[in-house]
Amino acid sequence: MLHMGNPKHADILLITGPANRRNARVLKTLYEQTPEPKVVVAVGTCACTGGIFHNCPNVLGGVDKVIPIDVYVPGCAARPESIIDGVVLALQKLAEKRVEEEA
Amino acid sequence: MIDGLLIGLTVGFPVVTGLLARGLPGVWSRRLLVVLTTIVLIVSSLLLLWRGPYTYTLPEFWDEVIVVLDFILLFYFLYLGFRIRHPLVVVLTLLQLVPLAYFEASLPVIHVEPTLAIDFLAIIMCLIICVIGSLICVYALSYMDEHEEHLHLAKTRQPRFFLYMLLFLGAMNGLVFANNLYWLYFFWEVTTLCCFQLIRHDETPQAEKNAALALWMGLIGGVAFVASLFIGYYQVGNLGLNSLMSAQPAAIILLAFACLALAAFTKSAQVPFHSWLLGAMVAPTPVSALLHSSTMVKAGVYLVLRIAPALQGTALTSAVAFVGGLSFLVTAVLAISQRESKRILAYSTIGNLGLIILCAGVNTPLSMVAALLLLVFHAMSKGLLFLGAGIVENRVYSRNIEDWEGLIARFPLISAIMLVGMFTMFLPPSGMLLAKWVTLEAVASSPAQWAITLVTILAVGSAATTLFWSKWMAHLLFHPSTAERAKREKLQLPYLASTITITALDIAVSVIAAVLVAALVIPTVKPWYAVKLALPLLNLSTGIGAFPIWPLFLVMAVALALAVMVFRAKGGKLVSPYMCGENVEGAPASFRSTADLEFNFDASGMFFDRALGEPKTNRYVTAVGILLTVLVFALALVV
Amino acid sequence: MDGWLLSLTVAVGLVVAAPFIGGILSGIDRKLTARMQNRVGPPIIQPFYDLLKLWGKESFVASRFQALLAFSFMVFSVVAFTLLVLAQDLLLIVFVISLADVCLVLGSYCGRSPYSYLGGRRELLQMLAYEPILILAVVNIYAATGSFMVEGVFKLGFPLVILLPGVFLALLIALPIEARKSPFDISASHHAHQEIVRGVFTEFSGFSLALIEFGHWFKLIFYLALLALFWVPLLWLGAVLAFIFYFIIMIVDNIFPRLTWTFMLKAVWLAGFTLAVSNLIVLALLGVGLAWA
Repeated sequence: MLHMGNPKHADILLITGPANRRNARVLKTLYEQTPEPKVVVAVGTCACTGGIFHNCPNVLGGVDKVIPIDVYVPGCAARPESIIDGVVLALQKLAEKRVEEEA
Repeated sequence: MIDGLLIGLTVGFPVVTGLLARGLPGVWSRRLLVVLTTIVLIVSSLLLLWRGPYTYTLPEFWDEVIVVLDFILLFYFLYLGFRIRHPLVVVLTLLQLVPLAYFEASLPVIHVEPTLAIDFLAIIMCLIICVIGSLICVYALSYMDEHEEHLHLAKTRQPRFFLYMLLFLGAMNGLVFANNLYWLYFFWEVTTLCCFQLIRHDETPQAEKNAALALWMGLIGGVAFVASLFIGYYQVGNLGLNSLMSAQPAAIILLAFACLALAAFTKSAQVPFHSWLLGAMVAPTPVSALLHSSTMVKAGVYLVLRIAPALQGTALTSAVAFVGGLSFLVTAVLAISQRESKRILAYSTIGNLGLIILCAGVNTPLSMVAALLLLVFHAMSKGLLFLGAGIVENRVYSRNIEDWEGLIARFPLISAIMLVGMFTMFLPPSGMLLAKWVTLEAVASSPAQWAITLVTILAVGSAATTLFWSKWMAHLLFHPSTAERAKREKLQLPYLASTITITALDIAVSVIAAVLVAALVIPTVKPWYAVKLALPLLNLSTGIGAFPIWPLFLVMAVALALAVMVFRAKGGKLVSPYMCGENVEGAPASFRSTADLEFNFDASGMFFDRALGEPKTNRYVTAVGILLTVLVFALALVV
Repeated sequence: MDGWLLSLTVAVGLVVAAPFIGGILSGIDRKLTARMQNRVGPPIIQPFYDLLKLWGKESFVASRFQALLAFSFMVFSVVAFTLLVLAQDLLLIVFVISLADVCLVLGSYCGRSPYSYLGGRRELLQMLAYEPILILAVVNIYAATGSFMVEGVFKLGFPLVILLPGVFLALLIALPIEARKSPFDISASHHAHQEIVRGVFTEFSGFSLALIEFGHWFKLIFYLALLALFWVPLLWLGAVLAFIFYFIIMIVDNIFPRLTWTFMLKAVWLAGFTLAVSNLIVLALLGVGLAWA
């Protein structure tokens, strides 16, 4: 598994913070720049729902307010084991999507 | 009958139509004349190719005519020297005028049998001049209209312009046919005149200044030529180039050849004399195209190639090789630092001429083949690049290649032509690269000890060449994917006709380079050298190496077709470039930075200003060039 | 006729085998790197999975030319290697390799992306660094064997490296550039080093990236074959040594930081250039080469 700093080479997007008004645009662009099939994993409570920031005026909430999410990994902070579990789940989803695409 | 007719058509006809274009009023008469000349020149050069080599002797009356015309020309130079208040021009003209007057006073026999000797080298040159040169004149029909519109001229200067353009072609043909040194000298001076007049055509202070520079540097060559004329006449007994070539290579004869070589260096803008060609860039682009591809600078290398067989085994030939080598190396490196399109092309021209002179200096059968291949392919590719550059310049209003960024999106057709031109300059399997490949093998296999130095120069020079060309190609392609689709560009018929013909010619001749070698190059070299070149299945084999020419083109064509097919099937979504997600919608070259401010991403183009900046380096280059030239010639004549 | 057929079969076999060897080498590379960082690492054949995955991904292009240029890079890398196994002209092969590189650079400029632009620039500098060395190496081989053809090396009868130790060393110095390894991995940041994202590769994705990866394997094997050529009657030894050198470079890659391009240019030019030129001079002085004997 390679850590890629470039959405164009990526299969899985790992997002670790909440969506806010500033980064919503960035999230959207990066999501669009990732070629299909792709899977998005939200890591941590903040990324899933906004967490303790959900009331802040600039925070929109979870990342799913901006882009579709495939796997939610809860926890504050998310435990390493659950992150691995989430990524493995994402891999399964990726394989499913590939099959779907081919069909 | 046809012999004399062909000479009349190639030398005399363009002079006559040039004078008519000057005299006749009206745009259409001029256009008609230029197109007519083009057709006549191309047809007659092809007929010449079909006719093959022959010699031709004109009656003595014509010798008298040439002498008279020559004196008129020299007095005109003197007048020019006074008019532009340039003491060097006056002095250099007097240096020719006084000895020639003395020469005439001694009632010499000017007449030589034959007056004109058309061999394969002359045929190759004639084809280049007539085909490429006259296509450039056709191109100029559209270019000069746009150019003058841009300058808001009250009265058109085109009659004068086309007079000198067409005169240039005629004089060049005369130059390459001449066997009589006096005739050669006369045509040589006519090309100097045409060059001067065409450079100063726009009459700006800068143009006048650079034209004067070209004039006095050209006149240095004239002085050297007169010296060799003297030596030739008094040592050999007549003015025939053929008798000078076959004379015993005594030191004094070598001096004559050295003078001719020096004249050739001034004409071909080799390193201490390179500044005039860079200055000549102020002229309208068709002039540059003509100077660089088919006339002027090619006269210099023609002369070197002409005399090279007589220099075999002398120290002078090594000296010539080194001057060429230095020019190639220096200009390849300096070209990296240039922003102006035409200056890059000019540096590349000087470098390639240096390469030809290097090959002539190496003076082995293989190196002569390399020199001729370089001569032919350089004429086509460089002509094409200048024509393209001129069209772009008239659309973008800038010669700075930084303003040409992403040109492929704005002007796809002309950019594609430019890209093909650049491709044929330095990448396999194009003709230029084939020639460079032969050059390297020829230099490496030459028996001389200094081959190592030359090979090293070639290795470094080629790397630098690759850098500046690919940098420029990359610049043209550098555009955001989602930019608006280009509108269909409209190119006038003369533009289309000239550029597309030369592109097609360049590619076609590259593919069948073996035919060119068999039909023209080997016959040129054969009388003087033992060529060991094989052409198995129309590929080139030098005996120490092999170059599959058309198989590479075939692979390329198949790959292109395959790529297009595959990507058609796969499809391809155009996406914006990666900018950490901070792309700005609707402005694909911009990104958002702090406080949501939009920034345009500016890219500079690798010019290495601090290391290679021109004013600083140019002084050293000239100094080193003068030192080296003097040194090698002194050494060559002493040894 | 039989000999001709045999050599053709060998050539075709080598061209077919090259990408497999290249892929496995890069798999070993990843495994080794992982082990050096105390990780388990992917299976050795992971690069092939990656290639298949890239093949199936959605196709993004920065411009139509980009796809074409990626394809050309792959084709000319293959052509260069094919010419090598067909024992063709070495000088021509060097020119074809630089053509492949130019295609890659031009591809990286398509799209106006800051990162791939930086990568393209640096790739050009890398070419500037190693091209003279390659050309001089070929001239050296000519001086030693009297021929520019690969055949000449086979006809020599003893290992080329005896005559050209300097050239061999010079090629070793330039090897990290071609293999995209530290300290000279300045244009692409291979693996997961992310200084300029992925440099020249940033804007290639999916299918085009797969093509480039495929071409890169060919280029790698080409370079190792060039090194092996120096040992020719003992070709197996040459091959083994070439692989050993590649492993050394993998280790160097993991220990060394990447250096600046100025350092690369100076190091490769000073050391490689001097070695190659002095080797040529020594050959000429001793008069041992077949060309100038």
